[in-house]
Amino acid sequence: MKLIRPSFLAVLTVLSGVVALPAADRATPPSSPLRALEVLPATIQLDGPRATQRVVVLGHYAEGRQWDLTRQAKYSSSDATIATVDATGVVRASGDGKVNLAIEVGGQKATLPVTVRGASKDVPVDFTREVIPVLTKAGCNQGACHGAAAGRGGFRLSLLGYDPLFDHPQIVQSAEGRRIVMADPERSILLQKPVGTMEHGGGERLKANSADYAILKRWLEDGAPAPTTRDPEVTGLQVSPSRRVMVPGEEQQIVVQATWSDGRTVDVTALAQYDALNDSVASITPTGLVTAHGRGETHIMIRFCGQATVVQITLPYAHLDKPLDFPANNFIDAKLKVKWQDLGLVPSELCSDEVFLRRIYLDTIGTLPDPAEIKAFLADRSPEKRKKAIEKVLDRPEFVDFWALKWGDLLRIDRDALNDKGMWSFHNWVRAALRENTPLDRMVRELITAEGSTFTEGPANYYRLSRTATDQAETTAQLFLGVRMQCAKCHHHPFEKWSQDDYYGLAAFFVRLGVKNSQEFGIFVRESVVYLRDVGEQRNPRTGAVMKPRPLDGPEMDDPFDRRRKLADWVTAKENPYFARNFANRFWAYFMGRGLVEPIDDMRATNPASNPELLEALAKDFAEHHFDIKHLMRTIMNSRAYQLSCESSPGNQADALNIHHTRYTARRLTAEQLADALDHATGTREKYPGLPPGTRAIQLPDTKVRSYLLDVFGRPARQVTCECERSMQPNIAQALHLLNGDFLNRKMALASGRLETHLKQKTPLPEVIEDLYLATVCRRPTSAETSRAQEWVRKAPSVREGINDLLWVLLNSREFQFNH
Amino acid sequence: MRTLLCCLLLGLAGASVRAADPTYWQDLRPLLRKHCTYCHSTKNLGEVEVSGGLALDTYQAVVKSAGKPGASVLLDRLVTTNEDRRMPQGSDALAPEKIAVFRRWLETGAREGKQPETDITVATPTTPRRKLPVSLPTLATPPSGLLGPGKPGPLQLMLQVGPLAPITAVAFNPDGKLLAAGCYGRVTIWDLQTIQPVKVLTNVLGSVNDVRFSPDGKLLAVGGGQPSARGDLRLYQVSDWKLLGTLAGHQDVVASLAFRPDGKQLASASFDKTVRLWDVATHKLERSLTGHSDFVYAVAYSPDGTWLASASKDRTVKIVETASGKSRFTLSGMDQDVLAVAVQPEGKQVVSSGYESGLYWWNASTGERVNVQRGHGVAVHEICFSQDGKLVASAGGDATVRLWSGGSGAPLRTLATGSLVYAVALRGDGKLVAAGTFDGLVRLYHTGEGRPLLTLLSLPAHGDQSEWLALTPPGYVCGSKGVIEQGEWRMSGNAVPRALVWKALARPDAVLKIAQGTTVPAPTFSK
Repeated sequence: MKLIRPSFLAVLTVLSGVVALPAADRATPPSSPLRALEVLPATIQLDGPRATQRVVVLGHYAEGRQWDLTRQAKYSSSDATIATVDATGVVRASGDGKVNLAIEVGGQKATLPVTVRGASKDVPVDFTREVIPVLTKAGCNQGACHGAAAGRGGFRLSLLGYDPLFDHPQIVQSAEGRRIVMADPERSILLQKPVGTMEHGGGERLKANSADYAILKRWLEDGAPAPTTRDPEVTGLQVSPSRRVMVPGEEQQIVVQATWSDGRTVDVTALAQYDALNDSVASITPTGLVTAHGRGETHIMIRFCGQATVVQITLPYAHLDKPLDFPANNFIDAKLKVKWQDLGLVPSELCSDEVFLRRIYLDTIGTLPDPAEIKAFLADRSPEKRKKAIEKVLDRPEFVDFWALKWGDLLRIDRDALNDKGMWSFHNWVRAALRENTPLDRMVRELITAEGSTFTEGPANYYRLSRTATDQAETTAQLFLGVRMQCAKCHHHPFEKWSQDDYYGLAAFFVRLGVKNSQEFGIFVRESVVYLRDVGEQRNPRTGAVMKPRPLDGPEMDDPFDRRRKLADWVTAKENPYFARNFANRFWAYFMGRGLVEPIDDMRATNPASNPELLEALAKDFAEHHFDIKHLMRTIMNSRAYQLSCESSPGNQADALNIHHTRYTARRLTAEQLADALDHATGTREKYPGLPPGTRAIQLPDTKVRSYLLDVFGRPARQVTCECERSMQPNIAQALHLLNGDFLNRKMALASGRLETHLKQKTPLPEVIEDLYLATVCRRPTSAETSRAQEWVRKAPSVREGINDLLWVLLNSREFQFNH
Repeated sequence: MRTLLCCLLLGLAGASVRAADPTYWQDLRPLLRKHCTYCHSTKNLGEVEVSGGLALDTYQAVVKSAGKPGASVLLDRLVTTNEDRRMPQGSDALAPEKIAVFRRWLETGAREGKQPETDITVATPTTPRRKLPVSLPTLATPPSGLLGPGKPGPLQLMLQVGPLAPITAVAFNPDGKLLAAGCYGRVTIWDLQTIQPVKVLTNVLGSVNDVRFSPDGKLLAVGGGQPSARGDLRLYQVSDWKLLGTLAGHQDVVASLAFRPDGKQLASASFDKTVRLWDVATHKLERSLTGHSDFVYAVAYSPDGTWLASASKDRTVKIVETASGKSRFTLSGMDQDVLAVAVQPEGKQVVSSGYESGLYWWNASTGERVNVQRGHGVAVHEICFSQDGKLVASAGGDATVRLWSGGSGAPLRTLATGSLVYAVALRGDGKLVAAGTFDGLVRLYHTGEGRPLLTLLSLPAHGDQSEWLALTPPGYVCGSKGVIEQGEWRMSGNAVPRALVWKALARPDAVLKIAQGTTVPAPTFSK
């Protein structure tokens, strides 16, 4: 039962042109005149005796809004012997022919042509097309029930019904045929258990005599016909409406049609599976009725027989009276602005020059600017100074260090897996590529087609980290395409269109790779050589079929010498729908603190970008500029969006997670950034075992170099190909290490350090204070801060202890420990 | 006694009883079935972590545990706000209107009411509402032009009688003159000397999973039941097919039966995880063997009756002493359900098979696996020996019956049936093998030559009138009037004039001859 509270007077809060919309339990339809009816789908074709089609009626109003009138409309069929329609708008076939469906609501009328074919044909119920969807909708074959790898209660089905040829004998023949009685279908435990007339661990899953129940019963009466290997598959889903702007409390019926590989299009609204990705914004019933709740934007995931798609539901945070005043530095700002305008979000102010400089240093080279650089930048009066600073920072030598670290994480460069020599060879290859600013497509091509000695050919180590063809396929898909294929190894991907054929088709590119030992460096050195064999095929282990090499959604392709060359061509092609988008999203996330798609390496149709147009534009620009990484970084950093303050404003605080980038996303320094920043602030250099003195944390070749600080601040073990491996979680050990440990005291007390140098040189106190502020939070202290600091030092037992305390406080401040 | 209990409760409640008041059978049992008895059943009493030692699947048990209306533990468990105690466990509380039924039932004296008819009546399957064509091929090929302009080819008999219930049990009687074939709700007894059914037993409950004649041929045991609800085990007197008794107790269907070679004991294996041993004369339960942890699919006695072998979904075969119930061996090493087991007539070896393809031979005195014979490639549902032990037949999910040497285990012959084989039986002399298949037909083969002899079809009918058909490969047919009247013939997919074909092929004499192994000339067609 729905709770209806008395409506109350909306309190309008006016905040710099923002009209916050009140939350309401019941939405009221638009008050302006109804201009037109839109009926979805636009035409109806009913095939076969059991065909039905749901209709959705969308009203278009003078003020530009839309409203779902499906449940208010009056429906009538011009000839009930051909098709009938019920009060809820579901059309059913009754005889062959053509008929017009009349729809009337709010003084507007519409007609919908309906064609019926084969209405009286005696067509047995089809297992693949009709039975499996019923079982899936009822939840029988979900992972927690009979779809589990071991089944449930002795009854096992393929997960979500992806394998009808497996499911049919499980239902019809296993346990000596006990589940069905063809001669007396309603005696079958297949029917008695889910309706609850017989004890069922899964409870009631079907209503007796419902349409779904009738399908199963009829299938048994038809002799439980089996599926064949030639059965059609679903090739696509069409959802109407595919996006809606709604107000809280508003409802919208959606209609889902599936296209089968034999060409027919069928209404599956009642059989599709619905999942709301964010219930607090919009929820959906099992019959496809969306209810809007809170402000924001979300998607409804819709799945049916191995295909998936989404519906976008938007509830603007506020109504903006006038267009946003937001000068666009480049296309990024233009695309974001459109989204903000739609959602009623107002961006924060620009950040200060000090914050900007610290930010681009940390994001681009993982290094804090030194006090002289900060002073010079602040003194610069040129209007182009931010642009110039970006160019300068991109040319810094630390660029190679910092991004080699990132690539080291992505490629999992590690001495335990590769031996010292392999690790160095791979690490040095990455550094060389970055030094020369090698275009990304060339880098990826060299990785995919690598062969030879792992000690001399850096990229060959790529094939030592993933050692089997399936691992190599998974890594390649996740790293370069942002697609997680792992699920499809054992069964059809539950949220995606990827099947086991797609998975093993991709693995087929790598199946001929071999690894052998070499003795060139001596028999105990364990050098490996990656080489190609002439033969070897990948099979789909379920069907046993030999898989032709085939990239995701691509055509079959082969190469007589090295199949991987074809794969590299396909992956790095400008037209590849995944490659450019994947890297555009990753680099966006590295600089903006949050991907347009999150998690950043899980790109799929059912995990859409928060701003698809922006992602598309970024990817296109990246591809057009020959996959130049520095160009991509430059474009992002030059956008006004990147240069916004991290402080939220009344106009954007409702977007708590900053999904739409109306401000900069503050985040803790990474382990390596923090280690180097501590060195920088204290004027010392940490010594890393086994590496020359002066080596910085961002220069470490792998994560096996001993350092408690780096471990406790979450550097990744480089064991799995996932951006999530680097932990950004806070923990108590981090706080204790910096607050209480002797680590900081030792560093601050070093004779060659920043403090002792000031004491030795007898620097005047105000200058010391300014220097400490510049070396830590990269800005001058305010006059209040200066006088408070002076006061403190004066009261301290000694100047040494006073400034020591001041530095300790600064290093433990959030302003220091965060990139903001 | 039950009346007494009711009166007692009535007295306590002090409420007047009206016809509309809830009763156990009408109102309570459907609720209990939906929400409680999946765990709280007699079947689960042994598994305390599931049932908590409480069964709610009989009237007596519910009354016993319900308590007084004012202080009912059962009711308290439904309404308590303590989520750890509230039932059903792990789900939402029952709807208030359902709880009200419970309360009202207690207040009005916890009446039993009348068991609904559908619950007790023997499930005679109704004639299927749909009539799907069943096509039976023959080798009979009429001369060109005789039956119209169509392309000549072998004739097919079409009957609108489908879908047929799969044949799940077949058995020859000791002298080999009778063949019993069971399917859901029905056992047809065929007389192989006249090739016609002598009796159709319909007073069985639900599925029929096994049929066995006693060693002296005087009794027929029929095992089956309602899946997931109750087992059904009946003994019939062969002389007049009188039902001698129902051996009640199994909680789930009976899957397999075996008479001890002396005929005095009957073993029944059930999906309720037990094997029960019954005294054939008194119908009393002598012993219940509970060693298996899942469905027991098959059971077979040693020739001296001192031990038996049972096969289970728990992936083992157990060899158990019948007198003590002590387990001798657990034969393991299979990764999937074991569906069938048979003991060699000398008692030295045991053969098992199941979802894992292959016949596994075991030494009965050491429990060692001595041989594995692959062949079917998929599940093997039943195995049997000939009386002399020289021949083994297996029922394959690959739509074949395979014959193996009873000595070496070597494959001898493969008989293609065209449909999954659930049941197989060898006539005592080993010369005939019968296969019960998923398509609802019984097929008889000559084992020596691997030649198909007969296809038998029995249809559900009302009363004693049985509709049936026996078809031979050359095309000669005999059958009941109803079947012959409605049967249509087709050639190369086209209908042909019926009368002409029937004239040539409706030949009971020829059918009989073929069944007895005599060769009969191919049919001749004339205008």
